[in-house]
Amino acid sequence: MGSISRRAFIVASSAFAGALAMPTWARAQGTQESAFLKSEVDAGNLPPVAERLPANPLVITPFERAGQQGGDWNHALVGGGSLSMLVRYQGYEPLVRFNPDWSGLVDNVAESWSVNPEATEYTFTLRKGHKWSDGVPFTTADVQFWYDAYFTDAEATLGGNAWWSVNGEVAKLEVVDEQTFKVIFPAPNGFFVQQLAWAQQDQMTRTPKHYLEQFHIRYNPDADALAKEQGLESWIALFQREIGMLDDNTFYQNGNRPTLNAWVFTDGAPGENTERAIATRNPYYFKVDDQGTQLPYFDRVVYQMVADPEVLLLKTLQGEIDIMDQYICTPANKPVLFDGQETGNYGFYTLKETAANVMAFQLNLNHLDPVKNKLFNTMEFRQAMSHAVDRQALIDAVFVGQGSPAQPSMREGDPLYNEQLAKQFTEFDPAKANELLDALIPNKDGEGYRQDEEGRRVSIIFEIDQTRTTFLDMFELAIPMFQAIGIDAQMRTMDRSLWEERVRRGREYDATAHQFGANSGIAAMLDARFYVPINNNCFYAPGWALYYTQPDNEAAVEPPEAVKAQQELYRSLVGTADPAKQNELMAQVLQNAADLFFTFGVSLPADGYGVVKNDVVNLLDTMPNSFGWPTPGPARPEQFFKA
Amino acid sequence: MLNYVIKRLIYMIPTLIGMSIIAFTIIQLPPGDYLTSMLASMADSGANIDPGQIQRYREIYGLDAPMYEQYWKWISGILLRGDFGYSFEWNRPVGDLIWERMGSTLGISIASLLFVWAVSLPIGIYSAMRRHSVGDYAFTFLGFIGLAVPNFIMALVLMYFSYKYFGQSVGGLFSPEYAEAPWSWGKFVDLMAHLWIPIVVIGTNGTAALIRILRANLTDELNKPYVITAKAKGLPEYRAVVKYPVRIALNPFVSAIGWVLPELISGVTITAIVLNLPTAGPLLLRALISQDMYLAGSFILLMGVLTLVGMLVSDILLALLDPRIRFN
Repeated sequence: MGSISRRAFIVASSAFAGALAMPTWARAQGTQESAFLKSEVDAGNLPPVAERLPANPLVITPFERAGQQGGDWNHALVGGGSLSMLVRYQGYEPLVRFNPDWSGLVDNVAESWSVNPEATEYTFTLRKGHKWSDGVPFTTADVQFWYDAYFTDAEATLGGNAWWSVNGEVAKLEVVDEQTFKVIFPAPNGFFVQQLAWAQQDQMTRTPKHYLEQFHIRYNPDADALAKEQGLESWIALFQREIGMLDDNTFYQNGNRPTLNAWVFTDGAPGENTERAIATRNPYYFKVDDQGTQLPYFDRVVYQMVADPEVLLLKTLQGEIDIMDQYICTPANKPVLFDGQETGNYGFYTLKETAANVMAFQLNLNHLDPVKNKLFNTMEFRQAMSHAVDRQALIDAVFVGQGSPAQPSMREGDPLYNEQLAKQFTEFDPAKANELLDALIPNKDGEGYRQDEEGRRVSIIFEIDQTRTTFLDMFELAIPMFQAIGIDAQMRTMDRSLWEERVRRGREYDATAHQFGANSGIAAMLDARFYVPINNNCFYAPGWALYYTQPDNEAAVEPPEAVKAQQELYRSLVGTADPAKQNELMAQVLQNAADLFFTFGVSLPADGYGVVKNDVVNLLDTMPNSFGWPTPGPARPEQFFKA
Repeated sequence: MLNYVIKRLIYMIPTLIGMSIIAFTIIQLPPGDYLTSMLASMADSGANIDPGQIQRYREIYGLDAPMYEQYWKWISGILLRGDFGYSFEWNRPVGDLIWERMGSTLGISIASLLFVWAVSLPIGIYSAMRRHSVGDYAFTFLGFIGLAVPNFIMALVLMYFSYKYFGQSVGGLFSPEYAEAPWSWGKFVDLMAHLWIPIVVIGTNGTAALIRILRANLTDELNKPYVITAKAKGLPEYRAVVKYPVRIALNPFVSAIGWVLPELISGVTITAIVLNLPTAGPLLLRALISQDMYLAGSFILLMGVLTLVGMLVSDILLALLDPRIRFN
């Protein structure tokens, strides 16, 4: 290539001329256009890349090295219409996002943000020139539209967005100019931005006004007629389908709605084709790498729709899948995946489990039967139950020895780790358990089971969702352990929908078991389900949890003073914006949780793993595994590429 | 004959009404509804759900209306507009969802049905004529193995072999590189390389039963005097057997058609899930699990219609095949 074309010369020299005035990303960038989009740009259907990017794009420094655009990310989704996984791969674009190691927050769609010291007024600045995937500018008008037409619109709203309210009062939105807006709370709300960073909770970056207004009756008087044309009853149904806030499926099944995400479903949304769904690069994506190349690197994400995890396992063994840590990455599959590394040309990465425990036994502390209620609320009774469990045996049998005995708690090594909370009453000691129980319920019936005050056998029925197979395995072992101390423990398995009805929405259960929760920093503050009863994930105290949000509700149960104080402490934590103060308050919450001892568990979960093809670059070796930090979303899939 | 068919068609109407009511009721029977299962899976994946939202969702989905109202909404749509309702989970009309899977479903089902007949007819005839021979035992043994091994295990094993020894992309009907390609010889070969697994898996299950039925029926016929007479008069054995006894022994094949039609849609669900086939079975299962009631209800209704039609067809065929059967 001895000669240089005139065109290239002009391009090169003008790029040089502009270099002095331009920021670094642009200087390096030149006029590089994606090969994937070049024909569109040449045909005049798309403006050149420099005009598509915002004035101040987000510059991403790749984890290992800068790559080049192009290629497909070969991916898979298991199971029918379940699209809630997509947020992990291409849907995580809130105003502010979690950083890659989940220790804090970083700017994303918002160029910057700030909060006043009282934590009542948040100011966000958007990027000038930021555009939706169809080229229309993204401005505060879109945020205003979300607030007016959806969130505060009595007919269109679905409720939710609890982090937008304090004490039942909704925050005010104040638009300053095209790029700046404020959110003003009536009282302190310390975790507003953290809540927005949690997966799928920031709706402000998902409502393109120019597209959605045609479906809303206040913006388009013909919206009802439009709905009828589509066979729907009213504009509300049509608007809900288009805005997609009902659930993840509705959101992603609409391929027409413009987005800010890195990839866009252009050729039919997922679900239309039963075998695959393909997302292609968003020409207007607002991020560049430190060399000035517009992200994402991958031109397309190709999802194979797989009905059964075993098929996905075979496909992964064959090397058809680039990155996978869901569905198939179970302890049981590890040996076969390990053996297939060479032929499948892949390796492994580590997932840090973020759940507070593999399983938490939860006695219903708001039991309707006064005798059982009193018994369960006796601390020594719960201690005895906890001492009765041989946790190491459960860990060995069910988790192949991976893990160590612990109550639902923070992970060791976390700054907020509390040893008492994690380790108290975890030693296997049936003698101690019997001693504790002898002081409480000494009488036994003919079969050796203890009797309560009214002479009834003390039986506890654990109601378990049958899809949680590890729970069933653990209970098989745990039930004889409870029986050995004279408690007639039983397990009743049931279909998930029945379980939801009886336990999540019911009151008349003795006990259940569940998992999740969080074991580190920010996550535990946002999801404190095992430490303080605040929401309907707290199966140990449904009445107290309801009291936290709706004290006037008939079904709410006024908690004892110590629990009430704990709830108030958590309330003040939520009202604090200063991270140092947050940590201090959280440490107190955890100490109280240790003293209150609501639930007891088995083990902190051992680390999980994921499978990655050897040619994939820029994926972290270790990541948290969470839904709120939607693995691997915050680790920036836009800068993954294949060498 | 025509009168008979018309009468049967009229009888179908009340049956269908009954079936639609039963189908709809059964779907409503389990506790909770589509929202319960949707919220359960959302809560499961970590999303925060405000209990106050649930009531709002119910109104939007129309799930707060009483059951007879929901039923009427559904059935009137079908009768008046041919509209099977809207799938909650897929956000698309139920009709579209079902139809787009019909092609591959019928293709695979009919291919495997033909496979079953092609294998079991000759074997059944052979086994009946050479009873207690080595060949009879060998085929019977294979047939029973096919019957005894669960379909999904066989599917997994065959897939593993095709991965291990042919290095082929498993599951589905095409390899990724052909999935988006236009039709070509290569794509056809690729389709055939995938299609044999489901056909063999689904087929082996059916062959054993048919072989046994045919063998038993034919054995009864072969000892009847008219066969002996035919042979004594010098008719070649092949003609003496195929002309009359086989025809009579075919009766059970034909009368089973009533069950074959609905089987075509739902019969191979587990196999289809394991093999990742884009057929209707997995869609139905998914709809039932998530309590997507209009989709599930329409499926069940459709299968009811197919059963009724199948019964009618098999009755008519039976009359044509065996002149001794009369309508009355």
